[in-house]
Amino acid sequence: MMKISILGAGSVGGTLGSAWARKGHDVFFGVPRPGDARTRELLTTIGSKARAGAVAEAATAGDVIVLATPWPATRNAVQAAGNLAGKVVVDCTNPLKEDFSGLALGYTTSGAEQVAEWAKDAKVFKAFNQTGFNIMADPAFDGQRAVIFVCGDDDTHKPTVLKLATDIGFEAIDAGSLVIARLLEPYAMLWIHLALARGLGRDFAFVLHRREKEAS
Amino acid sequence: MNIGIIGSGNMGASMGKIWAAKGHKVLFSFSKDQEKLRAVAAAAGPNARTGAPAGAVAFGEVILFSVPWAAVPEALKAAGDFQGKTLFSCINRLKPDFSGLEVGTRTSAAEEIVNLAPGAKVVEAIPPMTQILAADSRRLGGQQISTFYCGDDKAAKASVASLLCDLDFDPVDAGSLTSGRYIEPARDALRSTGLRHGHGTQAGDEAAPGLTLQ
Repeated sequence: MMKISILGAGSVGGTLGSAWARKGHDVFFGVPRPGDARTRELLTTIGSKARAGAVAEAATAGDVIVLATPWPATRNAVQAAGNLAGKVVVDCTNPLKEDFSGLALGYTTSGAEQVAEWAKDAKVFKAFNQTGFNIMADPAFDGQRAVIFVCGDDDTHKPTVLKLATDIGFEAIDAGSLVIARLLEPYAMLWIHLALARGLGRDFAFVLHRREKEAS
Repeated sequence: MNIGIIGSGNMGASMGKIWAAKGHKVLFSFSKDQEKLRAVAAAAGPNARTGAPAGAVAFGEVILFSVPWAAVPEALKAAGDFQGKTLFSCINRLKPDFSGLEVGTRTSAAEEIVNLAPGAKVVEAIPPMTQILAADSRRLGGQQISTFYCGDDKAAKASVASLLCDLDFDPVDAGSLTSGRYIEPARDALRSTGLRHGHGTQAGDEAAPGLTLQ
């Protein structure tokens, strides 16, 4: 059981929080207006394993801090969280342009590396940015599991983040250091583009297959 | 279909061999080692021959472009005029040390190739790792691997999609050529993950990751 603080209680944050609460984790949503109708409704749906409060309170309440904000709100959220030194921060955002037509950052940096600059000395990971909230609610497809790649520079806490993904039914793959977010963010954009612009809808996911080593 | 191949390394050789076995006529070109080029064609059987890049363009209805990024200018110079031809590019613009991609989000290798090959109908599709291509079956766990393709010419895209089907992949239309900005890093995420987990990327290595769309 872990204490998980989620900054943002929208589609992604709400879905992840519900899924982790069902697995027995304690979930705390850090939002600008904890008492608004939408947040109250979310807490009612999830039940006793979830609470909501100010962003700064969320940062102290959680063993793991999950960023599930829209990109333009991310900087403020990280700054409102206060001192994140030593905390495990899981960045689920994508630095999308306002009209969702592409990424605002490229191969010379990534949203995750930007977050790591803002959240000084935090242990930042990128994950849960690569598929839709509906897939996060149910990552199973005919017995197969959708894949989530995780990247980050702290090897000690990486197993924790990988386990948060497997807990809710994903296949979790360690994709390497935080700079790999430069690949995972455009990879996420491929899902977004197929879902929103190419008419595939939201109900599909990427599944990772590996060829088994042949018996020698 | 007549298929001209510019770049006959692991990727071009594997794909050409499969297409030749499917009854397409294939012309392999552009290799530093002419001996190796002849061996590639011989292994692909009677539907395969060798030639120069310009010959591959003249021969092919579709031209497969499968050279390392650094060799693109030389290959295009040798290829000459692409006017009206379908150029099927499977090139990721990796840094020389393979540590990542050199262009991105504001452009892509696919879009840069359009500028370098005026008149060509460029379609990009980057197939799975070469050891999947080189294996007897291109399926993993019985399932077809998804291969994303993009381009701005409808007919050229349809040709490339049918060639991907012949390779036993599941072609997924990712839209216009600007989607190369997403396809290229997505493929490189798989490549770097494969390397990290010791799956390698060369023919004969033990395992390769591939994505399927569910």
